[in-house]
Amino acid sequence: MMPEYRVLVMLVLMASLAGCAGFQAPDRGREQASIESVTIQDVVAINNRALSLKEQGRFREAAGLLRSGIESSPETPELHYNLAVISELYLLDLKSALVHYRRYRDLADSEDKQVIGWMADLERRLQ
Amino acid sequence: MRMSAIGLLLVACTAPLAYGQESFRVELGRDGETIADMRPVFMTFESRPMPAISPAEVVRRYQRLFDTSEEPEVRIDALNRLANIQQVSGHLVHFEDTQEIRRYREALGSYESIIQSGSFHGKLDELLYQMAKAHAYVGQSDQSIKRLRQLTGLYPKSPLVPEARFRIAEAAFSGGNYTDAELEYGRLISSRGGNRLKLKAHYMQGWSQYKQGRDAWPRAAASFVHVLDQQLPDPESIKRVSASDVELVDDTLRVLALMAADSGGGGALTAWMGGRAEKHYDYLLFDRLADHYASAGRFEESVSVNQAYIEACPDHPAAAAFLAQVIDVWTLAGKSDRVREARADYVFAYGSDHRYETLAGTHQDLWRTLSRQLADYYYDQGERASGEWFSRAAAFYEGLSKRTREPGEILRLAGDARLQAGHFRVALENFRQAAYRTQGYGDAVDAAWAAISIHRNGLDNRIAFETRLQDLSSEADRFAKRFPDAPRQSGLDADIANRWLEHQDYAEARRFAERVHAHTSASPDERYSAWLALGEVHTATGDHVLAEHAWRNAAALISEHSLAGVDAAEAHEVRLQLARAVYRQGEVAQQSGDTHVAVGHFQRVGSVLPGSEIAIKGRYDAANSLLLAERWLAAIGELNRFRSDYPEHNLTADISDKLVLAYTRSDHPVRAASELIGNSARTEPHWPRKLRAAELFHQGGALDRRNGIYQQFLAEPHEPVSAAEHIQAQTMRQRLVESEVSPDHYREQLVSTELASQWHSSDTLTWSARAAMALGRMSARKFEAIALQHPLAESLARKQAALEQARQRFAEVVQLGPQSLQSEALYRRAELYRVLATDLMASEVPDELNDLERAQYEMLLEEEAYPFEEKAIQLHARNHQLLAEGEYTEWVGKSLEVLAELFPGRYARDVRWMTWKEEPSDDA
Repeated sequence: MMPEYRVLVMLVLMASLAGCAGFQAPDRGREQASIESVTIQDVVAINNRALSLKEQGRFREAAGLLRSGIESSPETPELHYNLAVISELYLLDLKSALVHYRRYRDLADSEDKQVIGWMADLERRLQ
Repeated sequence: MRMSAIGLLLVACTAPLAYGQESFRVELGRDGETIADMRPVFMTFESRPMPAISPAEVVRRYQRLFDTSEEPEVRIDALNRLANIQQVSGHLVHFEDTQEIRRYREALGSYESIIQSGSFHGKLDELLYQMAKAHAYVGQSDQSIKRLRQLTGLYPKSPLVPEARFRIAEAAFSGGNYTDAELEYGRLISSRGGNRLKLKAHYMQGWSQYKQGRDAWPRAAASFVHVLDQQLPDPESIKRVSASDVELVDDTLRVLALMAADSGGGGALTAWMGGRAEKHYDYLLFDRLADHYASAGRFEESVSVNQAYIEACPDHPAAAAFLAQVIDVWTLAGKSDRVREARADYVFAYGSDHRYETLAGTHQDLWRTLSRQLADYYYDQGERASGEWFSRAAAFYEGLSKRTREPGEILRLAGDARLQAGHFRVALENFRQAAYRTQGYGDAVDAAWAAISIHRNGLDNRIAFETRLQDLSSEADRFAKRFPDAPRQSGLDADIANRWLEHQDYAEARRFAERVHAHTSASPDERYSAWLALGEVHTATGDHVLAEHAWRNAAALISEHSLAGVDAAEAHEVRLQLARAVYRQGEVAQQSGDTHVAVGHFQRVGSVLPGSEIAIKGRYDAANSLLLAERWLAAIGELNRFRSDYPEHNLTADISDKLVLAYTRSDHPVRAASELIGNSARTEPHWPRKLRAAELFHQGGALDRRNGIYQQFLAEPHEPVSAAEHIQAQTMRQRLVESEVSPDHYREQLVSTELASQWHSSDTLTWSARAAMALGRMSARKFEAIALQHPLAESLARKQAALEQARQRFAEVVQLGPQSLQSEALYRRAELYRVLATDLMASEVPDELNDLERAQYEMLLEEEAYPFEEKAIQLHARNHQLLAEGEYTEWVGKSLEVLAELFPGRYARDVRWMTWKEEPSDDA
């Protein structure tokens, strides 16, 4: 059976497609391209949906949705950041948190000293 | 006593002297008594029809010719004609003797004239013969013999010679000249011709020899045996002896017997006959000898002769007659014992079927008569004295029964005799045969009943007869089939029904009992007995409807008739059985779920036996049936009425419980509880009923009444002895807490009791944990309310004490509580330390301190507060770590919020929402 977060990803993608249809007449070539690549709208929808799940205490679903978003859009730093926070505080998965903080750091436009501090703390706790 | 073969025709023997004492007095059949009676044998009679004139007229004319003729030949011829007419006409012409004598006297003159004249043209031998006859007729015997001798001498070849010689021998015999007679008879016997006379000659020769004395008897016996040989040439000839010869044969037998009796008896006879069984008629001689002895009073010898013959010829057809003759002899002798023995010998001798079949009809009749006489005799003897008499009688009856056309009575007598002799099995068979296998026996029913009585007596050990009830039943069935209208049948069937009942064979018991009622003649006592049996049968087989019917009929008979042996106690017992039958119908209906019917039956018991124990029980079970049928309201009404009607009855003690059940199940828990409370004093211990009542009050929402019981119970020392009791008490406390009845008091009891108990349940743990949490929260509020004021040490001590109290409660929550409460407990414990740290930091600084001191004081406060804050962070962090064990809770979230404040570097994280703004299109 497909995991719930996967279902959510599908729903989010479909909703995004429906939203696009309002602005632009769909054509065959455009539709094909949308399925293969994720738009920024999709990433935003995934991220915010994951945070909504987090607010409901559904941490594992939120993390799964974020991971799916990262698979589709691995270069989006917010996705890594939020996944790192949820992994650290709510899933107690410090290793995963450290990985995604680092990835966030790498993708971020500017240096985030606060995050760097957290990474140092994590590295210390993981030693 | 004579043999039947000779027809017992010869009643008396004619003395041989009769032949010798009178001239020509011989038995020559129609020759007449004397020679004068004889008619000339040469006179030929032409069988021509009689003339038209009357015979009397013809006689008158010949008589006139005889009287008037001068010619001797004419006169003799006329005489012959007269004799011939007389012979032919019989009664029509009768001559007077005087006339005859005159006629022959006158004829003698004519004869003499003819002879002297020598001119006779006829046969002289015939003339001499006629003259001899005429002399004899007129009484001139010597002259007659003289003429006969002349005839034999002058005309030896004359056919008249044999008769002449016979008449000469007869004359010698009559004259006592037996030697001459023997000689003359011998001449006749040895001469030619005269065969018709030779038999008589042998006979008379025998007599002539007999008269000569004992020495001549062997010759006489030979002569007589010759006579018998002639007369009885074969066995069948005995039946053909002519009437004229019967006396001859009989006398021959008699004289032989006479000689044998004086010559050694049977041995002499045997010798004379040339040996045993040499003559087929020897039995006639032995019989005659036995007769002779018997008539002479020589009974022993008579019997010996009979028995000797029987022994010698046991299979002879006359053997039975000899045996019978023995009986007669002993009867004649007046020897009753010997008579009986002889009768028995006779019966035994022909006891076998084969032997019996050889008997003639008369002897078969005799055999039956003797058997019956013997049987009756021994039966009478048996009645007079003990011994084997009955057995003997039975044997004779049984033997007789086989040869009796209608043997019913005989077989019954045989059965009686066997019964008296103790031969029950045989007696039974005799009775059965008389009853069922004999046609036309009027008393067959009595015989059949006797057979039944044997079985009954055997079963009751009144006689030594081994039998079974099944055998008696079979006998009774046979009786019923054969004698369907017998009045005794019904009583018998009733008896057998009760016997089967004792054997617990209910099918058979029922069959016989029901058969009693099929008899319209059955008496009230018999019908009563049968109804009792049927009642027992149907009760045992569980057919209580039929049982009621039976008991009801029995009760009716008691009320309608005066029954033997039925007293008031038995009458009551029958009514009781009737009541039980009705009651059991109720039970059956109840078991099958037919409550309405069950109640009806139970209530009906009272009408059968009012006021009885079973009637009360019926009322009680009627209520029970209503309970089982869950007809609660009806049951409640019935139970209350029962308690009202029988307040002191032992069953009433259970009514309260049943009412409680009915109230409870009918959704009246408060009434049920009230019933329990109202009767709790009656039973010990009463707490279970009270606690049940409390539970019912609880269900009914009567919480105040419930709580009252709880408080009363918990106020008493009750140490639980089981998990159930512990849980029950904790439940009471929890409910009191929920009802706000001294909640903190019962929370403390909940916690302390649960912690001390060895038994727990999820509910008691949760209740006590929540109680501890509530107490902890209360303590925490007290703790928070304590302000740290100067002097700090005092307030701080009070605050720390409050903290410890709250901490202890939260620790108890962790100890007792489930996962959900642990997170809250950790949070609240952490908050105790955080609040203490915060309160320390915010505590009042003494006014007298200068700035430096104030700074130092505040630093000291920070140093004091710091461990509490660390403790708070540690406990919140532990609470945060509970995420690894379970679901996220609000108390984990609260701890994270506090941690974000206390340890932001590690716990203060803001997630980042994303926004998207569509960039303007280049095409726009």
